[in-house]
Amino acid sequence: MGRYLLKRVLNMIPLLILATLLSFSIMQLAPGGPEKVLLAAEDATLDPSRIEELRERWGLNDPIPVQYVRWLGNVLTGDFGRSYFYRKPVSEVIGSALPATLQLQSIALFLTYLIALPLGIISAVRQYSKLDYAVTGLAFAGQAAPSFWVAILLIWGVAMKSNGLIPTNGIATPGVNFETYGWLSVLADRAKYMILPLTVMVFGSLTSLTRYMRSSMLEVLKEDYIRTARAKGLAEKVVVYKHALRNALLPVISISGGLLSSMVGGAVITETIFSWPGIGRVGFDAVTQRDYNVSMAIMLMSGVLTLIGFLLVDIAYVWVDPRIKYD
Amino acid sequence: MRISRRAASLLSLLVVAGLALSACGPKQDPTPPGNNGGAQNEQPAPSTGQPAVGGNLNLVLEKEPDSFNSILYTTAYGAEIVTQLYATLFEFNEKYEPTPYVAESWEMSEDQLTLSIKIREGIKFTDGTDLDAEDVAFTLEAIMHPDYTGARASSLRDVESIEVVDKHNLKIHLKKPSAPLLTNINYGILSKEAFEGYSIAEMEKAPASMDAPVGAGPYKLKEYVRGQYVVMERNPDWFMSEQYGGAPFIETLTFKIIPDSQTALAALQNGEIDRLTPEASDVAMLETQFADKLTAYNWDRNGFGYMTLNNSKAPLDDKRVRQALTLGLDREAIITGVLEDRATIPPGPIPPISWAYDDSIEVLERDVEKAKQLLEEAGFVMNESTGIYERDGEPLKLTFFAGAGATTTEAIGAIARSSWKEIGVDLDVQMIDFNAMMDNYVAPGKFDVTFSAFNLGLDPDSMFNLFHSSAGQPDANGNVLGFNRARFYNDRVDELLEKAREEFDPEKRKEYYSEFQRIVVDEAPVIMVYSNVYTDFVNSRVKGVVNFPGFGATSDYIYRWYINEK
Amino acid sequence: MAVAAEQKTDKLYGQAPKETTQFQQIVRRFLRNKAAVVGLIVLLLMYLVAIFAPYLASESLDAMNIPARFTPPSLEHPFGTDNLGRDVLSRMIWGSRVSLSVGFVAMTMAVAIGSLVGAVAGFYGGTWIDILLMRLAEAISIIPVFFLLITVVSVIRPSIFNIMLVIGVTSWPGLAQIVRSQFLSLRQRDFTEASRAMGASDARLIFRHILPNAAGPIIVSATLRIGSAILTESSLSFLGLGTQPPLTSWGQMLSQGRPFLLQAPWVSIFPGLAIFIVVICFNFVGDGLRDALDPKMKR
Repeated sequence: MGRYLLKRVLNMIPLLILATLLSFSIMQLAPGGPEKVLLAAEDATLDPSRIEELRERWGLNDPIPVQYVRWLGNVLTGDFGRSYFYRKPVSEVIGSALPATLQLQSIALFLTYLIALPLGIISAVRQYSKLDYAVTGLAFAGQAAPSFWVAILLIWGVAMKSNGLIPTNGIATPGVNFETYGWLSVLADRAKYMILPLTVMVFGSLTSLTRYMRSSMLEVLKEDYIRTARAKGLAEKVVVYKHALRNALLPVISISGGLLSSMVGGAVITETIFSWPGIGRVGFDAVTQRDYNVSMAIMLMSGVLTLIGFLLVDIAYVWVDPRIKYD
Repeated sequence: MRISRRAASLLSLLVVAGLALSACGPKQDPTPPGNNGGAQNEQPAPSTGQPAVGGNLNLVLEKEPDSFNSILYTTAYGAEIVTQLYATLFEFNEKYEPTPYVAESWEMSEDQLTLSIKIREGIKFTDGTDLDAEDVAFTLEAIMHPDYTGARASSLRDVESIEVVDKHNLKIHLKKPSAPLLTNINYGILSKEAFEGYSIAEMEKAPASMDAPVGAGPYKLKEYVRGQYVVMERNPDWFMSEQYGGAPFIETLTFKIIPDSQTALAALQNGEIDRLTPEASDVAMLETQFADKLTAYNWDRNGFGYMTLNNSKAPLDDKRVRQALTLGLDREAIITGVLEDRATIPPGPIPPISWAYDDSIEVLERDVEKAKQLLEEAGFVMNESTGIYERDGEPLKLTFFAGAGATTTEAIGAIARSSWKEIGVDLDVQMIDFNAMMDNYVAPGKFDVTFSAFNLGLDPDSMFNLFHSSAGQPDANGNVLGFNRARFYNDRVDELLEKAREEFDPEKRKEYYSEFQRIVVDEAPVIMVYSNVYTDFVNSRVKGVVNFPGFGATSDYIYRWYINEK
Repeated sequence: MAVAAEQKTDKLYGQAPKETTQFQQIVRRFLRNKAAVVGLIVLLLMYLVAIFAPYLASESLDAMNIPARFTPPSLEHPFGTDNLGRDVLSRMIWGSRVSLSVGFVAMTMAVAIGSLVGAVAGFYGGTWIDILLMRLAEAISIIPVFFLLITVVSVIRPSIFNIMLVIGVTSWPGLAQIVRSQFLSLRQRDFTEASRAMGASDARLIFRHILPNAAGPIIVSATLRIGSAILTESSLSFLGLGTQPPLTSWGQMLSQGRPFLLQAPWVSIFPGLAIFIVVICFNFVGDGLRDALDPKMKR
């Protein structure tokens, strides 16, 4: 197992290089470089030689492979370069966005599992009951309703009617900090800003997990060994939670890796509507502003996150299903 | 996703006219500036109560401010912050005339080639150092430096050199006379000391460009949390404070970053932000349902949305075809359908709000028959089966490019498509990413029609940027990078714009601009589509708001605002 | 596919397959699920509407009437008119063509690639083929799809085909992983071993014996995917990078109606409802199919 994981981690490196090279090339091929975004869009009677100078200064005239290798070399030394647009080190531009995204997304992910798995199990165990239909309906509605719709409904229907209890947008009240207010007030402050975005995200991602859980649970419940277990006179609870659940979790685990990867890019709209200063928004702006270094750093980080997700999936597999062995 | 109207209006203003407007004589003139525009400007009642120091004002930024350096920032979001942080040489009053700020007095030489400026004594930067002639020279020379990486180089094109006479006197030597000079050199003064040890090319790396800006403006930076908010606090040592009765009055300004306009609207209604320029479609609702909570400030935009026609590509190289398109476009429909009647059709390239507007120019009414007649004169024959004009067997089909992401441009494209179909012109509408559009189609001239917006700023000299041939010359790769994307080359227009730039007599300047306007209207290199009538909504607890002609409840005068909760 | 699964039992016990009966059983089982049947009927109707759009839409795509803007729903305009006075119902009928095909085409591409890759990888689990295919899947899923979409749509013009292509080509890895995980556990089951012992080829094992057993998760995922492809298109429209005018899609109508949500809710509510209903119907049908195809299902 340990050897397998080590191999897995080593395998990731060429994968990351492949993915970043791909992203780098696509981005450089997109028309309109950062020098034009900065100068041509603003200076009405621009001297074209200025554009050339800037490209030269930023090394944008070198062939793409050369630029890529230079970028990779810098990244290996911990230097992500400078944001062309914000004229700051990239680390500063995305430094605060990453924790904001991780904070929101990990809680959302946790809540999604917390709600979706039991819902899926219940609706499988009590297939075709009223409860099953209710859960199915809720889960389906979650996916079918476009997220920005739900978000706007929440802003107008909840935040605006809460008498200032729930803010319409943002992540924290300016000035509420640990030093003057204590951790309890800070926690309460952060929590009230999180309510709406979390609702949108959890509601929207319930569907797939609930459905997979239900479907795979149904599958397992019909297996011979479950019948045997039942025949042996084991209590239904023991059958379901001890014998069936483990096996039913397998396919559910396999989609979790994907859930992690969609964390980074998937929240552009939720982040935009609730003014959540996360990586999705920074990434979207970076793509439209052709801020290569910022978008590359985000691609790289999301790649690393995804790979970690895959690794966790692998570990979870072996843990849940002892029949699967590597090496 | 969409540059706000406020943002858009500030953007061109800054680029064209240097750092924005600032104050005029506030105490002596408590009533808001006069109604230059003609449209339904509602004047708020003069404020009651005495301004007192205190309170917090919540403002909105649609996106992250890009830079706090007054000569490097490029976005309107950066402008909002920079305006508060730095002091400029001049302020401009409601008639767009310069008044003293950092410059105590100034004088132009007889030959109009040397401007002598006397710097006010005793100005301190927020770090306690003196602001003197050296700092002014440093700021301007940085822009003129070959290594300068920002977007303002062309504004100081006519400046030959800067001469520091002594601590409080400097001279600006010009290559040729320049009437809009004062607006072109009006940048936020940087502290030379704060950039010591950094070359001009590297000045963005100095702390003073990032989180430790050093300025002499009415506010200073208190806290900046990326992606969330910028908090600024009152500069108690602001050198204009005494003159303005203790201004600035509001203790802190909190700029919240709210990217979505619908969210911002909810935040305004909820009292989470104090000022917003909403979508036209929301104005009526705010006016009726929130009359007790919000005060409305109407203002005419000193600019316009316009369609650029590609004058150097057939069939639009023919004046008659351009005129036909102008006559065929249903601009009334655009103003009703897209802007809720909160706009007017600009008669010519200089809006009525400007002193240079020629009031003999009238708006051309839509005339389908005349448009068709012009197309026939240009050699087009109607193909009765398709309903589209043809010339040499080629149907009259044009491509319209617009930046993606705005409901308004989509609707403008739809109206253009249907109204030009009525004059027998087929329009293909393409909405794509703005930078891709500029790079692939507009700059290389591979387009027929495109839509953009332009603001004149403080001086009509900005017309030079849109219509002078030098702003439309293709570079070595055939790309036009200047704003004359119409590739409109007219010798007489060039001459008039040059003359107006070098002429100091307002009457003569106005004459030059009058002739210029008539030529542009006749040649129709672009189609003027609309000039907005905007409404700024400000929470009624905020008093002393200045409704500046052409710019509304702009941030430039926030130091005059004060908060009165009653 | 369940037919194939059943054959396995038949072979094992040496009985002749009864194909028609199997199919009838599936149909019967499906028909018993009311939600699925209703969903299927609604979907069929919607696709019929899309196909016959030119005959059904009372107005052409870009027929506008500014004086009649924001007319509330009435007999003349059942779903009201939008900011340019265009009939919302007519535009929705035209838009159904884009919305319904985006979901379907993108899903078909993703399912085809995803199940093939997942099946092969899972069957040869642990070998170099598995590693290679899964690395490929991972490399693709490393790149955040939404950024990739935005970048690609900026490079090449946004068009309905490009959007379908990018969604399809980038959204298969998740499915491949589901299929693979099914295979990993199925390939060690008794029936696989039995078939292998009887000399079945790898291809036969994959496609005839194991894949049908993995049909449940594939179908569930496919139906969810149609919905998410439709929603992805609407997200792109939200950012202004969706379908090109004068063509429209429900997603685009929804986001264009957003600024008028308070003063003219019908402009965005009806397209939003249409998306909502289609996505839910696909899910119901997928649900019904899953149950119907499962040979072991007894009610």
